[in-house]
Amino acid sequence: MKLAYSDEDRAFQKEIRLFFAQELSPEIATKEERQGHLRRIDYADWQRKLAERGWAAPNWPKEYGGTGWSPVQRHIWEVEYGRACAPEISVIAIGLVGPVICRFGSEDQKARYLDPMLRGDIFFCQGFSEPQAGSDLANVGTRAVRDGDDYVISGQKIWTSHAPDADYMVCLCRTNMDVKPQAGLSMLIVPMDAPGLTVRPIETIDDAPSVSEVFLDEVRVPASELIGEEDKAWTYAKFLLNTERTHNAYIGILRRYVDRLKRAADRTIGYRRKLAMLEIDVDALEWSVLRVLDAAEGPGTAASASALKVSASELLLRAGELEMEQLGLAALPVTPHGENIASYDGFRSQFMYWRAASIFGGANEIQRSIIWGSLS
Amino acid sequence: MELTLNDDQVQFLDTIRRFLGNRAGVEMRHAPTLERRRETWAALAELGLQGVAVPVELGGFSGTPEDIAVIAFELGREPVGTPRYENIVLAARLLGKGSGDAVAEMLGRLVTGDLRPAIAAYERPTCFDLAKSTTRISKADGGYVVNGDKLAVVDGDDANMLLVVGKMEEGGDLAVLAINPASVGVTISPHHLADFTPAANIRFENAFVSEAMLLVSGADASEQLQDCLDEALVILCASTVGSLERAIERTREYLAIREQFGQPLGQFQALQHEVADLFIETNDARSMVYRAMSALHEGREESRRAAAACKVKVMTAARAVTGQALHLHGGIGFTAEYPIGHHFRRAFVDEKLLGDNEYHLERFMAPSGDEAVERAA
Ligand SMILES: Cc1cc2nc3c(=O)[nH]c(=O)nc-3n(C[C@H](O)[C@H](O)[C@H](O)COP(=O)(O)OP(=O)(O)OC[C@H]3O[C@@H](n4cnc5c(N)ncnc54)[C@H](O)[C@@H]3O)c2cc1C
Repeated sequence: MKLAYSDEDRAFQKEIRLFFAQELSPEIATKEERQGHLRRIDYADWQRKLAERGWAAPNWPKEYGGTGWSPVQRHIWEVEYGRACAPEISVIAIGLVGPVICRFGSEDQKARYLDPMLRGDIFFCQGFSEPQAGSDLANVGTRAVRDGDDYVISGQKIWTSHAPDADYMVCLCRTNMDVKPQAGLSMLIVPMDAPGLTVRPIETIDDAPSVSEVFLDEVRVPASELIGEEDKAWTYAKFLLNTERTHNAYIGILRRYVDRLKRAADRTIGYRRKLAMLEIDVDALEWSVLRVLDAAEGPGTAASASALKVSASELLLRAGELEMEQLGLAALPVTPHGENIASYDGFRSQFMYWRAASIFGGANEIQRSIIWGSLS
Repeated sequence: MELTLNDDQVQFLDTIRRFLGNRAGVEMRHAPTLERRRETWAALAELGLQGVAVPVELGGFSGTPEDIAVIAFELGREPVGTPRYENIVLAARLLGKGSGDAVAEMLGRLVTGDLRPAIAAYERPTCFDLAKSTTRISKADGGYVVNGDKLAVVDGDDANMLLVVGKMEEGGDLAVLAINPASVGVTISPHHLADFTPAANIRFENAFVSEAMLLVSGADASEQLQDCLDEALVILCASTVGSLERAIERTREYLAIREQFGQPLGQFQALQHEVADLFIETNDARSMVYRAMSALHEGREESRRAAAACKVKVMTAARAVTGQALHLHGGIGFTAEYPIGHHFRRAFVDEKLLGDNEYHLERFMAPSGDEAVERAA
């Protein structure tokens, strides 16, 4: 194991810092830092610049537009990205649908979707969760029934992030009722403007646009929109889990918090101690990330990956709480979202949003069950 | 201190609970309208709640902190659209320090619900020590003029009487004055807080107040004000505890009906234990309210420390309990529609009202009278 940064890594770090300094517009960085929840339109320019440089999807295989970076380089990228307050682009397309298409998609899908995804010309949302399929995701009830050259999809999705911004939804559907629940699921790409599909935004405690309900009433999509094979979606989801083990650690965002909190005026010794404890815990988490990146696959890695997710969700909350403490009464008044970038609403909204980090991406209890399962 | 409720109290609380229960869920997602708030205010006056801390001679009930706290426990259970009771009590106590017919009349109007008070005390986001107030009160012909800027004044947008804390220009003692917000020189910028509590930032520019409206003054003013604030802190904590208890009930109810993996979530022992932990935290938080209430009768040194300790204990529990209760609801907990998120938001705001945890911890750690003398020696 060699985890210390090499000279090459340091040079790499310098190179990307320079890139951020030259290419990331200060307005967008400020908006990302103070407000969060940037919309597609906010970062369109930034995504184009990344795509031109070939850095839009470091997690993809090189032949499809990835970077070919080492795991450590990808980690450096993620930390610097967060610290520079660069907005995360097309999360679902780059992080989820893209890799699955690269690995399991048809040549036609690769040709139609991958490049536009990188450039930000098309945008995806993730339609997995349903009212009755949250932690128990295998319980998905949305049906896709084959009808000639099409699938006809009916059902309801919920908690779909960024749905109003999306052109497509990757939809987890039941295609087989006769096998055990995990074995009867498929992934289909559904255009958001398809007849029969409606989106209803959900108001949330962070007073920011984030999640929606998506209703599908006999939505028709060509069978060519099936990703990979019928009934294999559970395998693809597991593949994703294995490739995206450290993303949930939010290490870039945590570093950004630590930077910002240290810059801000501090109040008391008690406050400074709490901030120091946070920084120590973030240091430890970062090395846990590096160890997962370095490790061979195995049950221990699964446990560590789940541990990262649980720790990160707790650290994000602590960071947000410290920021609220530092703002005091100034954190309380509400001005409508986005109206006043100089207010502290965005900081409070982000703090409230992190309250959901123990819920999304596999709730913490589910992660704990995975850890227990990997240990025995 | 009597911990068991008598029949009258039980019946009274039951009336309040039914009143709140009928309104729960209405307008959860948005700040209540002015009309709705006025309606609630009038209904609470009908129940006699505004007058509890007002002396009997003036139409009130001369309630003790204990009488008031049991009501606050109850009111705290519904986190949206109920006025913050600690401020009503604080207003009654501060007005009670004044004298003359005009003040007596205001107390009478508080009982009937005609008076809508707000406390304008804090000025800077993280400074809760009122001895550092920069609001200036200067002597003028027939009264005083006030200059200063106040922050996050709860209910300050629709008050018809403001109780302003400031410092006398002459002598530098703290003082509290009652000002009509319609006076020349008072500017009100309304907003609401993260839990929908209505509030305002208020600027006083040479605002004139007549002599009779000086409620608290003199060398002892700061201690007198602190007496009132300590009681208000305990009342605030009682309502927070009420909110936590309701949040736990709601969580338990939700886990009983929410099914995943083919069974109600409440059947998973991991979750049963998590809910039990919430109970443990809240149980101690309620005890701390009793401890602080009892200390309110025990002289300043004891009551100061106990009130500060109570705020820290209860608000620490509140953050943990409401956050975890939200988590246990899954995605539903994150919605504005579902009540559990409001318990979380309310706890978030409660922690910062009347001084945040960091401030009260410092207060608690500050050497008490005797120790201070010893250390100085
Ligand atoms: C902000 C946000 C964004 C999201 N974005 C998306 C998205 O883009 N696309 C998408 O498909 N989904 C999304 N989700 C959904 C998310 O994945 C689910 O909320 C999550 O899987 C939990 O499901 P649930 O909400 O139904 O909670 P439930 O499954 O009902 O869980 C409720 C509570 O019970 C616990 N629990 C459940 N089962 C067990 C058990 N067996 N043992 C012990 N405890 C248990 C959970 O940990 C949780 O605390 C998002 C959610 C949020 C909050």
